[in-house]
This record gives sequence, C-alpha cells and structure tokens, in this order.
Amino acid sequence: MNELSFSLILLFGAIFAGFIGALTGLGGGIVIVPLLTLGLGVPMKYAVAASLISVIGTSSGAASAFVKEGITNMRIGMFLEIATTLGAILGAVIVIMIDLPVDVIGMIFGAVLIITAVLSAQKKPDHREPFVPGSYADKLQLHGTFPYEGKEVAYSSKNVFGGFSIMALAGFLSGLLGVGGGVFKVLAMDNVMRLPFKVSTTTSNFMIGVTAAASSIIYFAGGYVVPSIAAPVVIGVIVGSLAGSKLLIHINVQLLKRIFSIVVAILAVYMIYNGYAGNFSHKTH
Amino acid sequence: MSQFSKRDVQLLVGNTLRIGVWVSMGITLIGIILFLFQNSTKNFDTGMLVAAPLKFSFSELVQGILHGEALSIIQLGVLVLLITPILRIVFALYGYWLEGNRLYIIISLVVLCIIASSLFIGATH
Repeated sequence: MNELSFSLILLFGAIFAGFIGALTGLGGGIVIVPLLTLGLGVPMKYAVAASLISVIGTSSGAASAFVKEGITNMRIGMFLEIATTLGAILGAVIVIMIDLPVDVIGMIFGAVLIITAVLSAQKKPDHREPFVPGSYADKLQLHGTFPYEGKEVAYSSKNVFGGFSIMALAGFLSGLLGVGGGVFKVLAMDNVMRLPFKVSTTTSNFMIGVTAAASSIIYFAGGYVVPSIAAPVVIGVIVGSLAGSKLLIHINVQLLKRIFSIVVAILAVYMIYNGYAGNFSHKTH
Repeated sequence: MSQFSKRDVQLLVGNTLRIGVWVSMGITLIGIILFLFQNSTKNFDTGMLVAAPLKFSFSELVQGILHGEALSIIQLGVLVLLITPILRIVFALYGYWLEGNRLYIIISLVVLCIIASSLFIGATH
C-alpha cells in the first residue's frame, strides 16, 4: 500500500469514527483503536497514541462552547483532574515502560467496551443535590449554578471521594487504551457525586482533553506519535465529530444509541477474541 | 469577585480551546498535504514501526521546521494540540488568582505539576 492510499483510508476511517463517536456521545477512540490495530495492522502503542491525540482535539472543540455557555463547572473539573491525570500517567507508564503485552491490552479494551455499552444504554438520572454547609462539597467548593430553562439553578455534590476514585480509574483507562473514558467520568459525576446530568456531561468533556494530554505527552516524548498516522487520524476525527454533532440535533438519539450498543458489544467480543488468539502481537510485527 | 471577571475567564478558556484546535488543524493539514506531495507513491509499511521508536527531540523538531520538513510540521501541529488543554489550566489559574481563591490556585498548580511530571517521565525513561 502506498502512503497516499494509506492516508486516505486512515482519513475516512477517522471521519467515520469521529462521526459515530459524536452521535453516540462515546467519543471516537473506541472505534479508531480497533480500526488501526486489527483493520490496518498498526501496532497497539502507536494506535493508542494517535487516538489519544485525536481525543484532545474533539474534547477541546466541544468543550469550548459549553464553557462559554456557563454549564461546565470548571472548579469541579479542575479538582477531579488531579485524579484523572494521575490515573492517565499510570496507564501510559504501564503500556510503555512496564510493557504490558499488547494482547492483554486488547482484551482489556474489549472488556471496557462491554461496560461502556451497558452503561451508555442505561437511563441517566438527573440530580439537584442541596448544598450542605460543612460538607466536603462545601470545603472543596464543589457546587455551583447552571442555566436551566431560562433560570440559574443551584446544585451541589455528594460522595466526593467515591467520585474522585472512579475518576482515577477513568484516567487510567484513558491512558492505557487511548480512549476519552467519558462514560466513566459521567458515571463518577452523575451516579456517584449526583451532579445534574448536563453539568456532568459537559464537565466530563472538558476534563477529557487535560486527561488525554497528560498521558499523550509520555507517548509523544517516547516517539509513539507517528506524524504520518497521527495527522489523518486527528483531522478525520475532528471533522467527523463536527459533522456528527451537527446532525445530532435532527435525529432520534435513543434509537441510535440502542443500535450502537449492539455494535459496540460485537466489537468488544471481536477485540477479546483477537487478544486471546494473540493477534495483536502477531498481525503487527 | 464580580460576575464580570468570571464571565471573562469563561470566554478566555473557551476561546483558548477553540483557537488551539483550529491552529493545530491548520498546521497539521499543511504538513500532511506537503508530506503526501513528497511521498505519495512510496510504500507504507507498518513493519517500519518498531517496538523501540525514535524518541522525540526538540532540537530536531526546530531543525525540521526550519528546513520545511513535512513530518516536523505535523509534529508541530500535534504539539499545539497537546499544549491547548495545558494553556487552559494556566488561564483558569489566572482566573482563580483574580478571584483570590487560594484553594483553587493550589489545586490548579497541583494539576500543572502532575502534567509536568509526565513530561519528565516521558523525557527520561
């Protein structure tokens, strides 16, 4: 295959991944890593690195609008980024320095996909926690207001340390697998810290960029970000997710999410099978 | 603190993220087009991606850009994207400083230190 056709295949694959990622709210990473490794024979570490860079792009692009609207809680995001960045660095260190076998990474990827499919199919609760003076939410300033139906609505958070721990796990999976880990971040803020749904999704998106930056610095410095792979992937994923978020306003998301849950489950089984069969290490060198 | 400066910080952070993505996309696009003009017929072989890759070197990047090398230009684009979320922490830190919010000045500094440590780990391992 020559460079031009390889770049074009990558570009269109990445557009597709970004498109699906934006429509489902799951991010492009969960499509791009299987595509690069099993589809195109790119070694796992290079695929994870390219995917992480594209994750920064989509997160930053989407986050800019939400921050300006005042929905994102920048304080909660900043506090929890302590957990996600530490987790992300640990994930990258395990891949690059401890050299976890790529087939094991592939199988973990599959397992995480299954959890992602299950979590994203569930109905999301919407909370308004009352502010409790003297609580950790008070001491750490993890509360705020957000615009809802024309009014500024107040909310606070609960179970700060439970949320913090799940955030560390979300960061770890992001650095290990090259995904945004948004589903786990929303789990931490929505189900555990009981933040309003809109605040948790936008704040999660806001945090993904910093989390992915922390781990991709390690991949980048180590030379795993190969320009000829990263460029089409980054451009494609950003273009695809822009198109996806434009279309999102006009279509039935619930039906789409259900269909995609099934696709993700099939992809998960495929990743686990290939990891078990040792195909991640065989196919790529 | 006044509502006005909070709003200002929101705009500053939001614009940083947006501009960072577009600048990075622009540079990366120039780089990949240049690269394909120079190499379009060359064969791509994933076997070239060995288990122990060439480490990133800042001086090589600068040299490459000065010589107009396509791969270095792409690397610059990727670097801009990497720096974008880090810049937004710096601007948020500035916002907390304006507010006089001691706790969050410290928390932002902690996050910056963690990211600096990843740079250290990446550069030295």
